[in-house]
Amino acid sequence: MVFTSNIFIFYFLPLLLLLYYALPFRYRNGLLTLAAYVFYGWDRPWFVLLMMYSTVCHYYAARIIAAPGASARLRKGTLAVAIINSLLLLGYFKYGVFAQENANGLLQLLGQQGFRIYQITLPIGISFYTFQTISYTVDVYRGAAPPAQRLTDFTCFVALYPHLIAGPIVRYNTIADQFGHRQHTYERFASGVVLFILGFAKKILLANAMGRIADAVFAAESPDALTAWWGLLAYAGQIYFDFSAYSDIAVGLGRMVGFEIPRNFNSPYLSRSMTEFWQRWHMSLSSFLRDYLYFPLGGNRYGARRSMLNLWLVMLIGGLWHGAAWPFVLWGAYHGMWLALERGFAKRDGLWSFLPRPLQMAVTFFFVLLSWVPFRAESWTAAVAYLRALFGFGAALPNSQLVRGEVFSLHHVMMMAICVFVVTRKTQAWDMARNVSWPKLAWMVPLFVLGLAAMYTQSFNPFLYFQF
Amino acid sequence: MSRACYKTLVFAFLAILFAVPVFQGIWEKAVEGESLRVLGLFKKVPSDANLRAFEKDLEDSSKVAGWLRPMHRQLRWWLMRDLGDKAVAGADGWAYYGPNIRYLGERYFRDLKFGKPADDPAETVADFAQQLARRNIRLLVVPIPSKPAVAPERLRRGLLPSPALSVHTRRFLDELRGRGIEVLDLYWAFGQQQRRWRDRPRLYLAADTHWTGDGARFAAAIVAMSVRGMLGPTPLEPKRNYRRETVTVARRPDIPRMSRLPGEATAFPPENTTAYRVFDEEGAPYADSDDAQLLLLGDSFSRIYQTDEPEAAGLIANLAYELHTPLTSIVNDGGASTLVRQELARSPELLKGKRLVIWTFAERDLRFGMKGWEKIALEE
Repeated sequence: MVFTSNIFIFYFLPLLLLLYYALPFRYRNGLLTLAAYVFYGWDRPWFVLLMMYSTVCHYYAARIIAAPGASARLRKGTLAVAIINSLLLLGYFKYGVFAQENANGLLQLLGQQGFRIYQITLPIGISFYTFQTISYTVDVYRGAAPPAQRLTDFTCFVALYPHLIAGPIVRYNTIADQFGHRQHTYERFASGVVLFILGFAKKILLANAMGRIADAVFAAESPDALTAWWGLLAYAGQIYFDFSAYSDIAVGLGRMVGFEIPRNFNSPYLSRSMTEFWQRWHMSLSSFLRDYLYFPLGGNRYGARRSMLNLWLVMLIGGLWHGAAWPFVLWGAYHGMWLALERGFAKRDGLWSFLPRPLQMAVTFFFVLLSWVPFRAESWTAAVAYLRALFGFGAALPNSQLVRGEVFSLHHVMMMAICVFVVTRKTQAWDMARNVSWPKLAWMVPLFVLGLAAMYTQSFNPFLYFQF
Repeated sequence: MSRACYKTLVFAFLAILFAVPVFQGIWEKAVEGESLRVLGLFKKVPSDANLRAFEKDLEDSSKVAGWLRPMHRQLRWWLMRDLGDKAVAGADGWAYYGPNIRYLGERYFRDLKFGKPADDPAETVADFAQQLARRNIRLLVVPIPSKPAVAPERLRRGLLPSPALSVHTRRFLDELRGRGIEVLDLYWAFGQQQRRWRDRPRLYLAADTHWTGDGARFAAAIVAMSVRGMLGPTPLEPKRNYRRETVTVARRPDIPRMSRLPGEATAFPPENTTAYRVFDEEGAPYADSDDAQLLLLGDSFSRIYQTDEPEAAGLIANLAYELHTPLTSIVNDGGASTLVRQELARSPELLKGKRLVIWTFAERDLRFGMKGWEKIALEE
């Protein structure tokens, strides 16, 4: 089910809120789990079983690990089995086709006949819940988190519907207390409403508008440089508004039922270095990669060179986590390269920290912008062709001028201006939800109605991060 | 901030959330006298398809959605001249159909990773040509150029018609020629006419996907030349002497209608165009004949002015006028890629006595054709 749909907003959510507040507290986690399974299973009902399996495995693995008197060997072995089990599932569903394609390519390169690719449907959100369950078991093993007391608490944690499909990635120890006790106040609910409405409006009014431009330009046969930059700018807007909207909605919905889910975005396009960008973009993923990959690889304990290599490797894997395709790996390697360079030569400040502040932001944004090319392009070849177009080395075919005529229409130019205004504002949805004032209230409700009206005129448009 | 402010926001939000389904329920039960649609969820097995259908039904039947949609479309048009996903507003009251721009401006349909037609159009055309050849019937393939390729200047100022704008169709036609299939590239004539003789009548309507009356007449003249070239001196039977009269038609443009723009008539008033109406010797408007030696398969480009107002003034009638013989035709809006051949397969007697099949379709159908490019076996 999609947050920005008629069925979610006018049927699922009101029914859930009604039941939630009608039931005594002890039944509420169970209700949320059940609701999450309906929400998740709406797309493909049978994938709920897969998530249940993963949940049960990690719940019992953590119990074995935390059991009094468990030997170090048993603890370690259980941890390894739990992790391998999850990674095998993730590997099969997410990387199965990728592996086959590469094997096929290799065979053909060696002059052998390729085989027929066995198609596998990717269960949405599998990357997110796999990371969450693994982090839980690892935290219990490390003693950083208590094992869940009840299976219902843990299933509620894994399946918590607001952030289930596209994050933020939540660690058990950050919300463990909330399964036993949550505060339900008008203030918290109202801040959740603000986040929900702003996220909803960002997705429907801004992200989808930018998506129209980006889709047209990235599909163009060979755009001229100006159109290519316009399309790339639109994609940068689309992915930011889309993904941060999902996070805002997730946090907002969480607050409506008393949960406090951590922040995931903090004006990333205003960063002055690539390191800062990753401290502001998909913050829950960055901290996950740091704690569960970078530190285990040695972090910065073995000198500057090793630290740089570790950073690069972590981002490479981060790229592969985003999608089973080589362009994603390239995207990860590119960001890893910048992070490593900044760590090695600029002590985490930007390599361009000598520039005035606005220029630092502009340079950082420029390099981030370039990284969206492989992220968005359909294939390796398409990414290279697009990069050539950006720098004026493309063919700039006349028929692509028609696309230019389309994407520079008054409507698209106005939407781009609005997006630039919103992105460059320091006050983001998260900050706006802190205080609900009468003037804010006066435009919040009309904004929601406007978003609803727009939603009804748009075709099915799921969040981009569903595919990861 | 005050507790009253939080409370107001929470209750306003919840009021919207609850009011919509409650109102919908009351409407369905009390006004429409039906059972609640939402209960449909429990009437079928919750499979992927059933859940999708249920969700769609719920949204399609939503009264609130029905009220909000036109308001939003109107607002979008007033504020930003936006026609939505399906169309692009051009300069001077022109509008362009989105799939036409996508077909022309995006990669060749065969090079697409996603969204390419399930069946290869070239294979299907070749298969159809072979089936006709076994009956001693020849085939002429005539893709109809899209408006953005012929009249691009109101989409992007300074852009002139050029074959490079319609490069995908050239590529496709070359491929058909390579397979020995006879094709007619209308774009050469259309593009030249619009590019060189700017004072000549326009070939396309401003806010419609289709051609003007002049466009239909011009296309008929070019197709007739090609048909004469293909069939040689043997005259076509039955011979008729048609006459033609000009008539002015006010056509309500289809692009704002497809965009579901409310009050479209205000933003895009009906456009007057000169149509060329064809009459037979008895003064009756042109009519098809099953005994004709020519069969035309077509889409709305063949329907416009022909069965629409003023009737007998479309491509088919003007082609008959040029060739002095009636035609048999099968026309299906948007369905020239597959549906017309399915109709033909259901009425194989229409092929009796035919010498030539003229297959016209909008060039964008190569990628977006309704029902794709399915191979259809004609009864032997």
